[in-house]
Amino acid sequence: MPDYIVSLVKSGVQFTVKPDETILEAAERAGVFMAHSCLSGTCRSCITRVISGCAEHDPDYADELHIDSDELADNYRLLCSALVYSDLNLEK
Amino acid sequence: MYSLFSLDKVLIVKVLPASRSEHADVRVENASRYLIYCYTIERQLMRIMAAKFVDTSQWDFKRQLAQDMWETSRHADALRTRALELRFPRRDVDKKPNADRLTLMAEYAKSKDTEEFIGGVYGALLPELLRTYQNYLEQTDQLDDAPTVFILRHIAADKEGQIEHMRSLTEQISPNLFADTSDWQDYLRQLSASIGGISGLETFVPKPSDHPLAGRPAYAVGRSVQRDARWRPALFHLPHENKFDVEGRKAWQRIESLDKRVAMQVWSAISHFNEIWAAEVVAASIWDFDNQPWDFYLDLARWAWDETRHSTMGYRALQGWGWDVPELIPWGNALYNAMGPMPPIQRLALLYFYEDSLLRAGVKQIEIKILESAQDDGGVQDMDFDWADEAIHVSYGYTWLRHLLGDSNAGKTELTRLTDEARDPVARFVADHKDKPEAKLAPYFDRLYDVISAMLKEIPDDHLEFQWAPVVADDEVLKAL
Repeated sequence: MPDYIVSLVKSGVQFTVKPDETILEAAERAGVFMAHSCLSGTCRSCITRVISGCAEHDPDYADELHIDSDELADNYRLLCSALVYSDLNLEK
Repeated sequence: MYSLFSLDKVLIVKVLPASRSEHADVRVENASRYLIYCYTIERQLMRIMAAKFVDTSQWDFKRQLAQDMWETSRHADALRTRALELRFPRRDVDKKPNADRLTLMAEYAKSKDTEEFIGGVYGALLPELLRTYQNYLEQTDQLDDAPTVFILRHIAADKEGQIEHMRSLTEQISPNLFADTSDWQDYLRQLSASIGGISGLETFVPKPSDHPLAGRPAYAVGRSVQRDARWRPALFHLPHENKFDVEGRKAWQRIESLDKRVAMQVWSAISHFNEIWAAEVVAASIWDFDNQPWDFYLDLARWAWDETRHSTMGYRALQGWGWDVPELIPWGNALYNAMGPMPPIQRLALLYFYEDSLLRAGVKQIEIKILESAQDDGGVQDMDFDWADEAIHVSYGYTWLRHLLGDSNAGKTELTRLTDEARDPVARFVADHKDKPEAKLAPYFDRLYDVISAMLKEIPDDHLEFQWAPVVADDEVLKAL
């Protein structure tokens, strides 16, 4: 799987995400500050809307995440638990 | 009445002898009932401790009650889990608590003040609970019932510690507390004996209905709090709370002008110390919300204890600098008292909004980075653990507000409405109290200025470059309130 580029549209920052790496892990690796806390998808500190591209929560933990179906339908994702499947634009 | 042992045995039976000399006839059904009676007591004790924690102003008692409340929640949880393992029906655990034990605990809640509450719980209830656990441990089979033995040994050790610790505190703070509350303890002991004790297996005595302390009205948790009498009355603790306090803001800026890094340390410690209001809001919810799932209480007990720990972190830092904390540090009650008239659900919603907003704004992360850059190792450690706790609290808030309001769009809309409508009363409270002497922070910060100024003369400047952000995100979040 290739690396993908994540773009934060408000701040103009970009970083790459490796396969099997969450968006938040990639941001940390790139030295990009993003609000987060629990790293397990339960505190919702990192909830962010995906403007374009494909990001999905790790299916092994999807049932344990604190995000509801409406938020998922509106393309919100918990960055600590989301894997990337294309280049992404995030509302951040 | 039941027994931990099976009954009605004939003396001579045609069976091979038991493989042990004693404890050969403890039955699961009886053991689970014994444990569930204890669970009912512990569960109610935890809820009452939470409420009395709110009502208590004396700082050392308050802190100890919070810790014991949380430990009690863990005891109740272990007992509940074990009783379910021992085939006690889940529906009965949750929906049919023993009425006699609820009545007994309702009387404990009716203590007229902190001293009486402590006298009753630490003088009568906990010693009886300890004896009840020790009796069980003596009677049960160490092999067959090993999981219970493990649990009860730990609970008994905790109870002993709680009793010892509180007795030690009372000797320092209120040496005659137990003697002065002996009538109340006596009444509660008689009441317990009238239901056969906590286990229901002891000798029954008549109910003390004509006892002079019987028949008090039902208890309700306080809608306003007082602070420890050693502190001057104060409504607020830092200038961002009260936009009208221009003099207080200027006085704080004087402290910043001395040394921004030190000002940040002091701000952080004062802020931590005053987190007690969050503990109080959660603890009051433990009492206010009746008939909720057990995990609701378990989570909120942890939340309230965590916030008390955070407050203690601040106190420890302030005391560690050698300061007379009651003399120098404002300990406000406006945040709890402003929410007092609101329905319990709205208070919980507002607290959740506040904590959720802080985390989403990355405030804790920012504060840790600032403290790291200032090489304040103690401050970093406190803030780091605080941050981990707050993430759990937001998760609790999310879970239980959805439970209370409904996991639906209507529930989300109601949560937004509750939060939005809570801002007005808080703002109004600040405006209504802005001219009161206890709303003025300048005298505190003037005194602090002198103390910090003197201390800084003893510390050579290290010319360390550090990041400075005067808690901007905190201000932003509070502006929204």
